[in-house]
Amino acid sequence: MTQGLWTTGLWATGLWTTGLRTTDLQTTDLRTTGLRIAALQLGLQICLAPLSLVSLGPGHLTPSAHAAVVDERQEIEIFADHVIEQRRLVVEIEDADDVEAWRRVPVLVDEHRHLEVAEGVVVLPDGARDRIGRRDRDESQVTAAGMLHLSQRVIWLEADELVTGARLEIDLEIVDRPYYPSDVLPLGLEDDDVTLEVTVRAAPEIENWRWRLDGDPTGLEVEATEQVVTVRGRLDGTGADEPALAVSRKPRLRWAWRRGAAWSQVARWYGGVIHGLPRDDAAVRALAGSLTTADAAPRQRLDDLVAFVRDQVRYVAVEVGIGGYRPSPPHETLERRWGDCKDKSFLLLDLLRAVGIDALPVLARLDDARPVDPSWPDALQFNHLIVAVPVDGPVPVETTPNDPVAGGFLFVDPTQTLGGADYLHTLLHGSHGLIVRGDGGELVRLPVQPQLDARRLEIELTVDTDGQATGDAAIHLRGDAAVPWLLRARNAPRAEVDDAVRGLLQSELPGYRLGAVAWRAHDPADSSDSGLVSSTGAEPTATPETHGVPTAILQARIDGTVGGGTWNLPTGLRLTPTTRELDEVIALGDEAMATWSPRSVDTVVKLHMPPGSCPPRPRDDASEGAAGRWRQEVSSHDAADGPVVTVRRGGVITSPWHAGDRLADLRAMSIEEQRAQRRRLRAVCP
Amino acid sequence: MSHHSRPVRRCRALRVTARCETGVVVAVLLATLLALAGPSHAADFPEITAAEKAFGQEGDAVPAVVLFDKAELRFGNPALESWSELEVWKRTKVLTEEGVSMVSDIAIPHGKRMRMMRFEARTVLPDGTVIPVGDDAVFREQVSRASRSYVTKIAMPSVQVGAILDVHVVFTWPDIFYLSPWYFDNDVPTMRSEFTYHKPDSLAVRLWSLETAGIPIQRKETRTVHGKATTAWMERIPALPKEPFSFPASDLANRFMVIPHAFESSGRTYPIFESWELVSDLVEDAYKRFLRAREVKKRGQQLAASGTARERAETLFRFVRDEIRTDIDGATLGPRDGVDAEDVLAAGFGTPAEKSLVLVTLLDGVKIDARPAWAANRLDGRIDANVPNPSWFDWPLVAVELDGATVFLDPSDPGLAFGQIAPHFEGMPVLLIDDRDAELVEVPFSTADANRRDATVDLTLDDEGRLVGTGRLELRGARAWAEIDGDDEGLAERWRDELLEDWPGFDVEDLTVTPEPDAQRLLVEYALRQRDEDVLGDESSLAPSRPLRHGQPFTLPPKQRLTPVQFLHAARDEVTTTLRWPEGWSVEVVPRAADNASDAGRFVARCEVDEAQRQAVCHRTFERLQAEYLGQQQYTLLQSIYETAAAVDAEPLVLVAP
Repeated sequence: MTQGLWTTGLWATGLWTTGLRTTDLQTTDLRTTGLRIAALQLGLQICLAPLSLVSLGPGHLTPSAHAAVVDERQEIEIFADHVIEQRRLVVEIEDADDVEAWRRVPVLVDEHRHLEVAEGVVVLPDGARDRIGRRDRDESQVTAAGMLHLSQRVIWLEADELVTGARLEIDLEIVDRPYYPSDVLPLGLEDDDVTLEVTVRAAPEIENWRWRLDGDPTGLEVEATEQVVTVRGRLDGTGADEPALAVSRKPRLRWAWRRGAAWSQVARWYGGVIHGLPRDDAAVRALAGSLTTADAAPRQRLDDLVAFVRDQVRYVAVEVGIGGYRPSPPHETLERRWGDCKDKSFLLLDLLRAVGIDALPVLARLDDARPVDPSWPDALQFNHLIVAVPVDGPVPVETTPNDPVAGGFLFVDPTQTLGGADYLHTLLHGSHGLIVRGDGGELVRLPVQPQLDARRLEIELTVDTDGQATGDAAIHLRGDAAVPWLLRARNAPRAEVDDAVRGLLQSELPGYRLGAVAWRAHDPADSSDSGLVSSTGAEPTATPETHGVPTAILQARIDGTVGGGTWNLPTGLRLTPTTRELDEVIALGDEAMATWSPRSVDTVVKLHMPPGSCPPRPRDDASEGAAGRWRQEVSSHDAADGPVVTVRRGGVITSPWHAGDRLADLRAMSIEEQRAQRRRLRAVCP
Repeated sequence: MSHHSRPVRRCRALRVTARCETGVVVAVLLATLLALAGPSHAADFPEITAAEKAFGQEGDAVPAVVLFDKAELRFGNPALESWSELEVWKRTKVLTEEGVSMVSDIAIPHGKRMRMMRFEARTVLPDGTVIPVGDDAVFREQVSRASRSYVTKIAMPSVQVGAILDVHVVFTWPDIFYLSPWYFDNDVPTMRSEFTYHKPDSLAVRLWSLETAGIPIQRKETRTVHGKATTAWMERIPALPKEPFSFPASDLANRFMVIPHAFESSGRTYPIFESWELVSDLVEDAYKRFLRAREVKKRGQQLAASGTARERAETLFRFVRDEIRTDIDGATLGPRDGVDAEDVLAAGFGTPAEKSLVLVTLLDGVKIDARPAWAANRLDGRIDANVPNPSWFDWPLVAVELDGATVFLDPSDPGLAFGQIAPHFEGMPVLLIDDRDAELVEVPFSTADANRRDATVDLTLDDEGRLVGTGRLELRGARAWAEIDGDDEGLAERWRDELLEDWPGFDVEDLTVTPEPDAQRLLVEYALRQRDEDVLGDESSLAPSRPLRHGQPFTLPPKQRLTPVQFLHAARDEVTTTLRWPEGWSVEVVPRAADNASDAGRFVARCEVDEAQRQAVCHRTFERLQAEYLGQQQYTLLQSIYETAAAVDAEPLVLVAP
């Protein structure tokens, strides 16, 4: 049963649901790696239409397929003001799974993309032909997580007569008037064996025609002449076999035309999209004046305006046609107090402009599937929009070394709901963004700051002569790691958060009994938020920081068995992926790339041993390279009531994408970390 | 608000066929009706009181509060063929920033039967400014053109802390059937929730309610021009608790329901939901049409020409389960319009209801006594068997009389054997459909032993300190059912991932996964080899419980636990791990033994080390005897078992080289 605030009484009828929010947090596993999951936990949304455009490409006549044999032919003709896509698909239905997979074939359409021809026939095993006519179509609106409304629709071609041994033949013609002159076609189908032939042909008058085949070209032949490219071959359905951490190597054919192969061309295009947008409205200027004081330093003004847009304008995504790219007028966003990433960013831009700070929009990519490819200038590479504040502009903005600054810009994502201007979530760290200026643009690499996704586990135990230990454990979370807890603490009843805290601590401390729990979640950027604390009112002993980065501290009394001469310590928080996960990526070949976002992870275990105990031998293991660094130190010292053993383990990851040497470095770090976690600590008596 | 009275085709003598239940739409009215739907800015919302304005100023910590939640159900008059109407008013106040995102975006599904006739909404700012919902903030989307189902999405404007959101919606439908309870509770506290029904004198109704929060549901009754109005209400209702392994919200919430019982027309009384026989009567026509298919009966005779009655029934069950694909999207209790058993058989494709009816028809062909039955999902909430109501049920089964006993069959689930039903139907009544002798049969819970996992692991440490060996896991009953979904390729892939998760630092090789739905069994066999980088050379540790560990989900202290615990089923796990090591190595640490047994279940662990044979054998048993644990004492016992298991599971068996 779906249950939400608006569901009272009407639950059972299914008449009334919410569920549009995507920040419904489950107990956060500290090892969570998926950027997409993290984005949802951060309350971030992919909101710029190009992602949708990609999905509108002709490669998306792809039902959830199984193991059919597919013959696919496509002809795409590019004219001055439109594109005609013709597709013929022949599917041999081999078993019941194929029937299930191909019974409803989806075709995506939109305001600029019309289905002109859709013909289909089921050739039954006895040779009889059953036509898929207009009456065998259904239509539904596309819905996407976090999006309130999209103009995309799916036309379903329904082949109800499909049976094992039948052949399905589909012919489509779609006329597209793309907003940006480029496209991308994923080749092959997820699980099916496909024989394909794709031809993309640009009319003679089309300028700046170019194409590229990305990914693994095995099994494909390419034939290209001046304005035509044909890719043909056979692809095995290997989609499901790609490792979880791998950047996909599935082949994709890209092409572009009209606009030159320069990022400035992409920026100019976006400049054209936003041209004519009503800006600098009096209401926006008045608000900026009321939110800041005339004598405030530029940085203070920035902080105040960022706080307003993050806190007071909620994220709601509505994409209708070109509205997938073009923001709403900022005064409208202000009036209704909701908008998507474009709306929020342009509202912030106008608010900043009203107080003298000329910031710029930045096209960015919020996606863990693949990074922006700097060598292929294309608007379709972006799906998010943020703001770049010039640090040394006419109105210099004061920054600190911890601020997300790169190339002379402080980057702000107003779609984030928490933190100050010094906190940029790490999902964007290290990726490329396109700064859009009136005269063109500039592709820049966004900063990398692992300390903005930081986890630290501190355990302090007093061990008795029987190996029983009692003490405290605390998990300190900062930045991205803290945000889900902060949101949870704000949204859920205290007792529920208490239990989630217990659940997390228990999962990190298997075998230990938990006593009283205390937690504190804090967004220092929110002046009205003095911090949220556990239901018992107990506060952790540690104090959260005071800068504009969200923090959370989760703490509990614990007791358990550590053991005698050899100690069974909690393995601690993990920095790197497992070697097995990395080896799966490495096995893809020299071009393989893994995704593992920047982060900082530490575990500190302090054991107060009984008097007369023997401490372990000191150790210092480390692994460092381009991917980051990992280190473990085991040390001990004598205190009045016995030796104190300290184990420090952890490090940082300094890039989101790992290929070549960096991937090898990451694996080396992983091995060290894995072995350290497996090895028990041993007393060594003299 | 006017009472809509529309001349529509009414279901014959209120015998609501499945077709009628899903709604029969008079096309000519549709355009008119739909044109009426949409935002209107001229709503006459109740005035905001001083108390509502002041609410929350004391700094209440909750993100939002429902100030009132009010519904009025106006039954149509069956004799006049008038439409019924449900009007809902809801007023919510946002108390924190978080409340803004919780309550601001709304989605209202509606369709060809339950039509949304009116929708109005507004935001009232703390200073009293009224912001109506603009046309550009309301999006009516088509979920399916074929089924004429829609969802209207609304982005409420200018929502901020202290704002009050008002929503008003009116639905209408062409009969008198609104058979769902009104739930008084919300995710956030509710100051007042009320449900009023207006009925004509010609309609008799039965009332049903359940209080769960210790707050009484109050009622009052008034006369109206044409009949009677009854209001049920509750005040100051706390937010619904959310706890792990809790009962569903529909069991935890306070409920009130009104069920049409009989109506009078032209001096004659027509009973409606007076008995389970009359509930069965709803589908009589549709089912009988289906069951008449002679060719299908003949097919049954061909498919099961010989054998005992049980053997023939098993043959026909497997045929329907395996050879007719299931259209899970069409999961209702009635067959599709115009589709009969022969159509389903010819297409090799049918909804669960159609598959069940085909099986009944095939069984009838071989003279085996079978009839359709309806099951209710325990995870959707309990039902009251004393109150005949078709909406309690949502899944079709077949009840077969064999050897003097009733056997339930579910041919729409590829993971179920003959005589097995999904565990979420256990502990619930099944309705045996019969318009003359309907019967409710309680399905007992399966035992822990019926739903077991047995794991054996046999590992040897080689001279280099690498663990190598094999593992075997056998799942039975509901444990096997949960895995078998007809996609054997996907099953093997899932198990590979699962085993890699269970055995970090190991490569999993030679994996075979053998689903045997007819034996209610799944067998997983694999080989293990420790990866190079995990071989330490002078030390090796292994948690004997590795393949079947549980963790501790019950961290909430018993005094704080508000809700009872619900699992899908009782369960039992057995693990036997054998570890051998070469000469020169020795055991450094042995996990402690444990035995924690109670009414709730049992956890037993012990390791036997034979240094001379250089072998250790560890046994672990985890047993959860019940599917449901009620009360604090039961929770305490259950928590204790999990706690013991988690503590022992964390202790490895450690071998060291000198």
